[in-house]
Formats: sequence, C-alpha cells, structure tokens
Amino acid sequence: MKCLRRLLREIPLPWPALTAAVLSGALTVGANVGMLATAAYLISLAALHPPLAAVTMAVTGVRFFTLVRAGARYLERYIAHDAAFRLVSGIRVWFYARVEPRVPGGLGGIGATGLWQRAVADVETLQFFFLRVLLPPGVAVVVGVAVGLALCRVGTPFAAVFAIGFGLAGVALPLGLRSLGRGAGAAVIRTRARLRALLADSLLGLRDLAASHQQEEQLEKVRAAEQAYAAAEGRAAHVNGLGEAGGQLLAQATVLAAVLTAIPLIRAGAMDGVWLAALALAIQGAFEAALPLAQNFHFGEESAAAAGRLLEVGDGAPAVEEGRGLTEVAGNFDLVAENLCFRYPAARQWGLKNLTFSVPAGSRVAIVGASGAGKSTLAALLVRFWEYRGSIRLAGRELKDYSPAAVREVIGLVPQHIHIFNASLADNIRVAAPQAGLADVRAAAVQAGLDGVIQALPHGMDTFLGVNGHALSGGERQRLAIARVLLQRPAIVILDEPAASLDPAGERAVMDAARQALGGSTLMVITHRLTGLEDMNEILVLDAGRLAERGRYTELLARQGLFHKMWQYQRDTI
Amino acid sequence: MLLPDLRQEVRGNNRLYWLLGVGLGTGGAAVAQAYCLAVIIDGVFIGGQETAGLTPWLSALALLILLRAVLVWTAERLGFRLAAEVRDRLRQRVLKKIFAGGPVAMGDEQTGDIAHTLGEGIDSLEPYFARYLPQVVAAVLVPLLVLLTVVAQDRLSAIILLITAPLMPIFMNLIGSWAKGLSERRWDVLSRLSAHFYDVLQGLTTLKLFGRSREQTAIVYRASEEFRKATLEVLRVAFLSALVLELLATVSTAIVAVTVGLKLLYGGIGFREAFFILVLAPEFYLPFRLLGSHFHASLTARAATERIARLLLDRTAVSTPVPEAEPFEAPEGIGIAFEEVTVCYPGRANPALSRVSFRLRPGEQSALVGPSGAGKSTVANLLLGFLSPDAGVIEVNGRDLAGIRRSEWLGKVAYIPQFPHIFAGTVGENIRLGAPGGEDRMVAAAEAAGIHEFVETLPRGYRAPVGEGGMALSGGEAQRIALARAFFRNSPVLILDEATAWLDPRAEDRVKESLQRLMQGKTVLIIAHRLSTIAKADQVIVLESGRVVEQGRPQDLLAREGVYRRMMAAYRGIR
Repeated sequence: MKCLRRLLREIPLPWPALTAAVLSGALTVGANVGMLATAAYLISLAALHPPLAAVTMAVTGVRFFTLVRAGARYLERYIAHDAAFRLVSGIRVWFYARVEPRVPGGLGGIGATGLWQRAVADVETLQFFFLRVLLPPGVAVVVGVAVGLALCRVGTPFAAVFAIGFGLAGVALPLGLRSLGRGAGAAVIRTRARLRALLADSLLGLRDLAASHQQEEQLEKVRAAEQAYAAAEGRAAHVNGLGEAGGQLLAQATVLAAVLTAIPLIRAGAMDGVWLAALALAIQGAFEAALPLAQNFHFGEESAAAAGRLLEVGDGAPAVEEGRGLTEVAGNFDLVAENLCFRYPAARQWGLKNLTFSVPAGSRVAIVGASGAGKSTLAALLVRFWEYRGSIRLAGRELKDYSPAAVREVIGLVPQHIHIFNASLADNIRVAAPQAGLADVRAAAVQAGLDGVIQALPHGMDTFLGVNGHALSGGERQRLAIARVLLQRPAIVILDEPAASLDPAGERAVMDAARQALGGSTLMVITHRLTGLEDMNEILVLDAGRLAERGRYTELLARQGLFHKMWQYQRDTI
Repeated sequence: MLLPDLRQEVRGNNRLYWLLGVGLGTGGAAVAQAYCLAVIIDGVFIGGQETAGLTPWLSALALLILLRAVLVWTAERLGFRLAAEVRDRLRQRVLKKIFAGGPVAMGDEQTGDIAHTLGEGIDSLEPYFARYLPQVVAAVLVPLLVLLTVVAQDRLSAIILLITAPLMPIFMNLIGSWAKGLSERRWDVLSRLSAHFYDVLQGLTTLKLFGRSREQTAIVYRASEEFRKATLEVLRVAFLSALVLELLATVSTAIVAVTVGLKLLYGGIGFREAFFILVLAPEFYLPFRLLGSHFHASLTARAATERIARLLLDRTAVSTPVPEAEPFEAPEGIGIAFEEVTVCYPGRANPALSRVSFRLRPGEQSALVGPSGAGKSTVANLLLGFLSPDAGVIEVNGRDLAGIRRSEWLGKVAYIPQFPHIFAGTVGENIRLGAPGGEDRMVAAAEAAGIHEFVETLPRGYRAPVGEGGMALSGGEAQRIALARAFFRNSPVLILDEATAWLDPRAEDRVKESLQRLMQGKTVLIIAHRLSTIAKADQVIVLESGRVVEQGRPQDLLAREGVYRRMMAAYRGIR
C-alpha cells in the first residue's frame, strides 16, 4: 500500500472524474433500490384495492427508476473507464520519463523484457486500481449513507439493522478475508514461478533430459510443482468463495433481520404494513454496492505489487547524471585513461581494474579478450552509460566534466546488439541526425555499403524494415549501424564486435567499408576474433578486467603471452 | 458449448456433474427463499400474523439463506478443483507428447511460444472451467426453473418473461457484432501502440547514443492518448450492451411489477403470488447477466485450446521405443558399428545421412569432422536414441541398438553438449541429473571437471540455487558443470560436442587435461571443432553432405591427397 501512496504522489488522481464515477455508480445502485422498493410498494398498495389513481404515482416511479438505472450504469462505466485510462496514460508517460535517464546503466539489472512487462502488464493492472480498488468503496459509502438516511425516515431500528449488516459486509468481511488470505497471493506467485521454471527447463533442457533419460523424473517434478501451485491457488479460491458466500449471506440475513424487526412494530401499529415489502427489497438492492468490497483488498494488493514493480525501476539514482557539464568538447580528441576502474553494482569482482592506455586522435586501436573480459564494459564507460573511477580524459579534460550528451556527440558507438526501429530505412539512419537531408542520408547509406540493399528493397530508402528489422541480415544490420555513425560523424568511433554475426568474408567487407568511410576519425575496434589486426596502431589485450598486454600485432605474437595463446586457440578452431 | 478439444479432459469427471447440481441447487434455493419471503410478508401485511405464527417460515428462510451461502462456496471450490485437475492432466499430456517426440521433433520450434502455451495458455482454462462452463448450464436451467414456478403463479407474467428472455441474447449479439468491427480496430491501435512502445524501450540505448531519447516522452504520451480514445470509442459501443442488458432486465421486472400490480388491484391475483413473482423476476435474468460477464473467459480459453490442440497433434514421435526391448550388459567395454545407416528428415529432399558406415572401438577416440550441415549432429542424435535409422542398422557389441532397452542404453552413455542447459535447482542436482551416487563422488566429479573451487565460493556451495530463479552461470561454468555430469556418470560411452567458443582462458587448459582423463579407456565420439583434438584422435571420420568421404588415422589421412588434407591445409597449413 505504501507503494501505491508513493505512486499517487507522483501521479495525481483525476479527482473530478473519480467523484463523477462514484456518484453515477451510486446512482446506478440507488435507482435499482428505488425501482425494487416502488415496485414492492406498488404491489402492496394494490393489494389493498385502492382506486387506480392511488397507484399511478408508484407506476410512474417504477418506470422512472428503470430508465435512470440503465442511463446511470452507462454513464458510470464510461466515466470510470475514461478516468482509468487517463490515469494509465499518465503512468505510462511517467514511467518512460523515469526509465529514460537510467538506460542502460541505472535500471538495477532489469532487462528489456522486465521493462516491457512492467510497461505493459503492470501499467494495465493499475487501470483496475481505479476501477476495482478506488471506485467500489466510494460507491458503497454514498449508497450506504443514502439508504441509511432513507431508512431513518421509515424507522431508526431499520437504519440500525441496515448499518450493522452493510458494515459487516463492506468492512468486517473484507478485513476478515484479508487476514485469511494474507500470504496467499505471494504463495501463488512463488509456486507459479517454480512451475514456469520447470516447464521452461523441460523445453530448453529437452536434449539434456532425454540424453540422461530423465523425462519421467521431470514429469514427476512438474506434477509436484503443479500440485503446490494448485494448493496455493486453492487457498486463494477458498478465500474468494468465502467472500462471495459471506456477502450473500449477510445481505439476505440483513433482510431477514429487518423483517423480524418490523413484525412487532406492525403488530403494534407503529408502522404501516404496506411498507414491509418495499423495506425488504430496498435493503436487498442496496447490498449490490457492498458485495464488490469483498475483493477490494485482493485487488488492492495486486495494484500495490504492480506499483512496487514500477517504482523499483527508478529507485536508484541514474548511473550517470544527464544534462550537466560542459556542452562542447574543444581541442584535439586524444583519449587518455589512467587507472580506470569499474565495478557493476552488486558484482563481486571488478569489471575493469586499473586500466591505463591512450588513444591519440586519428589512431586505430583494437581491444581484444575472451568473452567477459570487459571489452564492452569499456565501451559503455566511454559513451557515459556508467560512472567510472579513475580517470578518462578527452581533449585534455575529464570525461565527467562534459555533459554525457556532449561526449556522445564526439564518441560514437556501433553496439554489438543493433536495434533496428520499425520504421523506414531512411528514418532508421536518420535517428543519428534528425535534421539530415535525404541526400546526406543516402550518401551515408552508400558509403556504408548499403547501396545493394537499397536496390533490393521494394521501396528503396522508404521501405519499412519491420519489427527489429527482421528482414535484414546480420551484415546489413552492421552496415546500417555504420551508416548511422557516418551520418553522425563523431571524432571517435567504437565498433563493438562488428564481426560477431558475419562470416570471415563479410567481416572483411564490413570492416573495409567502415575504415574507408571513417577515414580521419579515431577508430576503436572491439573484437574477440584476431583477424585484420595487423595494421592497428595498438592492440589492448584485456583479461578479466585487467590490461594483460598491449602492443602491435607482431610484437604481441612474438611475446608468446595471452595474445599468442588466443591466436593459437583461434587457429585451432574450425 | 464445451470446446471439442477439451471434452476428453472432463469426460467422466464427476466434479462437472456436481458443479451442475450445485448450480441448479443454488437456483432452487433462490426460488424457495423468494417463496418464504413472500409467505412471511404476506402473513404479516395481509394476514396480520405475528412472529410466533410465522416461526416455521422464518426458520425455513434462515436455513435457505445458509444453504445458499454454502452452495455458493461449494461451487467456487468445486470449480477450482475441476479446473486444477484439467490443468494438471493437460500439462502432463502435452509434456509427455513433447518428451516422446524428443529433441529432434522439437527441432527449432519456438520454445518461447510453446512455453507460453504450456504456462499461461493452460492456466487461462481455469476461469473457463471454474466459472464459464457452470454458468452456461445455469443460464439454461435456472431461468427454466424460475419460469416453471412463475407459470404456476401467473401465466401473464410467465409470458412476459418468456418474451423478453430471447431478446437478451439477440441484442447482445447485435451489439456484439457491431462492437466487433470497432474492437478489431482497437486491437490494431493497441498492437501498434505496444509495438511502438516496445520498439522505443528496446531501442532506448540507441536513441540515447544519438541524444534522441528525451524527445520520445511526447511521442509516448501521444500514442497513449490515441490508445485511450480508440478504446473508449469501442467501449462506448460495448457498454451499450451493458445498458441494453440492464434495461431489458429492469424494464421487464418493471413490466411484471406493473402488470401484476394492476391485476392485484382488480383482485385477479393474491398478494403473496404477486410479491413472489416480483422477487423471482430478477433471479430469472441473473444467470444471463453473469454469463455475459464470464464470456471473455470463453474467448481466451478458445484461443488457448487451439494452441494446445496443435501441440498435441503435431508431434510425431521420431523414434518409438521397441516394446520387447531387452536389457543390456557390457562388462567388457562397448563397441559401436554403423552399418549403411540412412536418415531422412521429413520434408527434406536430401537424406541427412546416406549409407554411413563406421566403427567406434572401446578405448578409442573418434573425431567426427565436416562442415555444418554435414550430418554430425544426426550421428549424435542416433546414438542418443533421439532418432532411429530409416535404413541400415546401428550395432552395439553386435546387437541391434533398436532392440536394447532405452533406459539401460542411456545409462551407458554420457553426453556433453556444446551448450548444456542448467536446470532450475541446486548445483548438486545439476551435476547428478538423476544419476545415482553419493556426495563424495559428486564432489570428486566436480573436482575432476575443475568446477569444485568455483562451487566452494558460492554462498551455499553445492546447495546454491542456479538456473531460472537462481544464479546465472557463465558459458564456461555451464560447460564445466556438464563435464562434471559426465565424470559423475562415468559411463563407458562418451559423446562430446566440442565447444567452438573460447569461454574462459584460465580454465581451458585444465578442462583439456581432465577431459583426457575422462576419455581414458572409453568409447569416445567427438564432434570436433579443434584441429588439435582431431590430430590426437585414434580415428577421424570425415562427413560431407551426409556421406562418409574419408576415414582412418589422422596421420594416414594427412598423407593422402583427400578432403581431410585439403581441410587441414585451409585451416592452418600442413605442418
């Protein structure tokens, strides 16, 4: 619940809409109460055989309430959903604004899938926060008070009976259910996660399972997890059933109690018997507002959990403070790192430890090492996705002194995993420079070696590339990413594993295109393949976050160290 | 009403009948309750009776109220139990089917999709079985019960109910089909919005690199508002069906009330009957309205059922175990012979293996080499029993592999895949993987595989949770776990799919050493990716497009002017 309060501090509730929804909801229930009461009164009155004129009032009343009921129901639904969607829309924008400055470093290990689940499932759950958590109590209070006041006019004892019954159904029952069901939701989530993990294992580990003939055992494990899940859910269903049954029981029992209260009063002449039927049905009708409250806490907990997950995303400070520092990098673009250290949050080991190297403007440097050696981490530090310790100097000043945006204008990165937007080829390149004209975009594409692709696409540069560019091959994606950097024209370009998805021939073609097009820029190439490194000005060999060796290709080979070992290993692999 | 694919799951399940009985009982209790209330109010208001005279009716009403509550609770429990049973049976059936088909039948299917169907898909049947299905029956039986009761009281009211009843489904359908077109458009907008949002979230790093992430806030807001408007447009229509339902139910109750009231005025009916009918009228419509509110569950279930049915149909078992398979003993080591083995995958023009013959001898290491797609993994699949030959025979110590009991054969084989799967469980469970043996042997296996020191650094050692929901292991660690598995099993036959990627420079040499020890004296088949491994092998089998093009000792092959020599030359030049 604390999470919800925190969330609501950030996103104000649409109070006018909430009020309107509560009132129209109360009107819906109220109209039904009115209709049932007047209908009962009409029949009671008719039983006394008065002249027709005496019942016309009641007949009109019945018709009136009928129409009000339908109209009010429609209004309530519409207003409530409109308000709920507005709230959700606000949450969505708030969530994006929270995520944006923290990507990719400051998300506390939440990946794209985790973000997506939160952005869709959790945000949508909060739609029900409005409809199922906030709205029902409001309606119940208004209906309870209104019916209670009306009953006071018939007789205070009825109001008292109603207040007790309505209170039990609307307050005591939900509270009781909450304490009964405490922990049930968490148990459902826990057991479901276990079942899901086993199912995923059964599919992804099918080879390993079949090879060791463990299928029967796995089926047994799945069955056991299934039963634990069913037991946890059964408890939740049990509580839910109690709520439904209890609500009905209380509603009917209150009617019975009211009738029992009325009988002596009528016998004593303190009350006109013609009201008895109307009294009974009115009370019954009013409980329509109290019954949804049984599940109020359940939905409340769901909403709180969703809110908690949303808040989790931006709880820590951003990894790098955006929007501060010098906005321009002046001077020659020498890059010098000294005692550069970095550790991922919660990691036991250093990601990078005491790196010292320099990359003079216009030079070509390769960064090599086994997977996990820290190559991509270094790239992420250089484009200011993470904060670093030690020193990185660009054009003579500490990287931290510049605003991250200014650094990214100077240091361009072609990442290992290239995202292609579901947009046209031209727009995908133009991401790098929105003001660029079509001619510039085309020039960049041709320079990156995309001319063949453009000709092959049905609408050339205007062809939509589909979800994450599914129509493009690995090499084409690389070229597109290089075209982006060409359009951006940064002074320093980092290529992270440009060859990862390519065969040797494709690798050479992409690298040649990149080198040619980026002539004049500093080029830093991250790679685990040791081909085409002969003419690098320097090669930095990383090993578990440390700089193991540095030098030119032939020097490193002659040294017979780690680089030589990697080189041998690569030659050994087919 | 019952989806055909699901019929089998509930056939003969008594809970379903109980559930129907409870639903009908709830309806009956409602009718009886209404009658008691009518009698009591009639007694007080018209008869002028006092509490004492009405005691039997009052107690009956109290009992009925209790009974109805108990029935409602029972229905909830029963419905859940039924659904839980169906879920369990379905999941077991689908998994068994997948296991029977084996990894080859699974092929490169989208495991994510299948996992989704197995998880969320089957879960979504719960509301269908627990709520929708009982409600369907209740919507037929309860109104019928109410109608029969009303007929006995007043024919005119019964006619009113009878006329309005079919109007409900008709109007719901009319509005439903109107809303459907709109709703499809909404799904369009919705999927466009979510696709766009996903796109932006996934590409956020890219946008940031080019300083363009901030400006997306406005776009997200615009898209979100567009979605809200489109949704409301649909809901404006969809709520009409709520309005019409509400209107029909209240209007007909009102008509009944007025008709009965007027009849009462002229003495055509008694108060008790009139009031009884008034109380009953809403009960008549209630099941329809509940059905409407659970309708969504049936749509979701229908979609899920289709996917489940596809999983149950598609999987043809690639290799069926032979029922009269016999036990297998091999105290003296195992020799394997492929004799003219041919394998064709369905839907492929060329056979994956074509008349392949070779021998694997005990104590010898055989390296299988060839370009990707040459049939190397098909050989491994055959040896592991994931496939059986379409022609030819695989002999093990002179006996046909197909005639040997699968479990006993696999007990003799250890398999180290290129990308071993780490299961959700402890490190220890992942090393044992169901094989028998004590704690000491497990630790010894881990030591031999060079993973023991790493495991000791974990907070709970061999009890540390790994895999989904536990700690993620790196590729190198996972490989050493698989190696430990093989040491632990210590089987006479070893199939090794050599890793292509260099995962951990420090562990590499040690792993190589311990592998050599593991292979000592065993029948070993290596799908080789290292030239040094190949050079050390006792025998090299060169595969190309499903055929054995060369086989023999590596030094002999090198001396020959053949494929092997060309291959070696291409990769490193001949020493």
